[in-house]
Amino acid sequence: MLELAYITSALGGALCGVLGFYVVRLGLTTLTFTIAHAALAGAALALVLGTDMTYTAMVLAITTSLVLGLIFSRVEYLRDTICMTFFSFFSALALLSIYLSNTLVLATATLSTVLWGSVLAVTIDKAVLLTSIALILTVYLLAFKTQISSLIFDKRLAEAEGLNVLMHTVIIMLITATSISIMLRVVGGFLVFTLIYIPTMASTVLTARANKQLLTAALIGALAGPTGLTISLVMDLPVGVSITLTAVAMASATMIVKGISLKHEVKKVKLTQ
Amino acid sequence: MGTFRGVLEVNNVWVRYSGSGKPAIRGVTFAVKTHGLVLITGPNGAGKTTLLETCLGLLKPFKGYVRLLGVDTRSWTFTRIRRLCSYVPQDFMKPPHESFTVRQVIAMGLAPSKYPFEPISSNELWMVEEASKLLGIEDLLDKPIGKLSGGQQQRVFIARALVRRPKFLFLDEPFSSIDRESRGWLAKLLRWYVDSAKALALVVSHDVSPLNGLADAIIELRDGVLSRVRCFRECLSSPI
Repeated sequence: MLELAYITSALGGALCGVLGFYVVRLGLTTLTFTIAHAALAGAALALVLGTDMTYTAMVLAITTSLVLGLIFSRVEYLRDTICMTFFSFFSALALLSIYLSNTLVLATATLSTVLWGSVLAVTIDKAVLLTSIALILTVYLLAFKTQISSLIFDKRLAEAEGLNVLMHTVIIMLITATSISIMLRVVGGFLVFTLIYIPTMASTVLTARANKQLLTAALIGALAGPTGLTISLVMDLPVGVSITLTAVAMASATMIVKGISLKHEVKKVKLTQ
Repeated sequence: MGTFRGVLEVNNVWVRYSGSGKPAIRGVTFAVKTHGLVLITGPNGAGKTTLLETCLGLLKPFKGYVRLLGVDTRSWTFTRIRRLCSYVPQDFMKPPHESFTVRQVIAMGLAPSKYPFEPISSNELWMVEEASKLLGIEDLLDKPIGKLSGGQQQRVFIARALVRRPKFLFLDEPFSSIDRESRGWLAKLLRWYVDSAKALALVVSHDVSPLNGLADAIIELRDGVLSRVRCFRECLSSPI
């Protein structure tokens, strides 16, 4: 079980790191934040309905990404505000579901999985699903390498040149929604987007080259997951919090390293002058 | 390249930006019968960019229609027509941290015509180099685009537009960052492309001087309406 949790957190961390790179470059940050909260609402709703947490989260997250994708294809105005309205709704739905769920649930591991994740929550079928998604994403990125490069360089220009921007955006959002829904069990509903944003931020600080940013984000995600898991086990802390704090520490370390190397470069330039 | 057979038809087009009450363009009507170089001019805020982006389907009219090669820009199938078009936006400037090289950026223009798993061929890479030579940026091919000046970046985007060998060229202020001495040369390059590829170029520019004597027609906009149309060669049909 523990091995499975390690594999899932490493694979999920890498997958979220890669997705984070595309989400940020495509300007889908707020949208992803909303989808993560849709997944949280879905997981909380599962407590009331008695359904599978991951699949209920997935249904709500995928539906939200499709609905928002459709709205965004028609509305260019107030997109962030629309996302934040959905986010507020999903947060309310999550809290209402927790309130309406059996009072015994509040004291059980089920609720803690929703809120801050659990090592025990990872099962073989979810790990297989996550691996399948990682494979699908890899094949998709290899198949449309040139098109996706054009898309992340300039979305509007790519659209003007006849690239199907909506289709590619929806594909990335669907993969993100599915990945978030599975990783929610490990990291918890309130912190699930951690692995999407923090590795990308750290990789952007470390390198300017897009392909290196992609690999670095995947690597940081893959390291933050298992490291956070170990800290959680050793210090008996919630796993989601441990992974998030590890990712933040790694991002802070990259900023410090980058700052020091920049200082050295400035000194070198001054000496040569 | 085949002969240009289609037309651009702009019929009583009204466009409004989301959240704005006043339409940016109102009742604009004209049609282009054949290939040529058409200049769209007018003062700031006249609706030039709006008209150009509407012709390319990036903006949708709330009244009237635009048809390119007979296909309505609001149709789902219009994405295919866009593959015959190239666009150079007005706000092209990329930030210093943008790391894609000039070669990659020009090659990206070929992306929409690619099948899944199909890489850029050696012949296409040669086309990228030829396009860069046309624009005088062959020495910059391996430099990150973010490190280039505004004028150099604008040349990269024009090279990207030409490498696609489009039937329609939509250029928004293509001379804005180009130095004064090179503007005439760039205008002649556009003229040469239009004639050799039998293409249609719609060029938005508030400065008419580079295209003096080269444009086949000049469309003037003022406060969102078409104020004057001048034809020097039979490529425009009179307003419908």
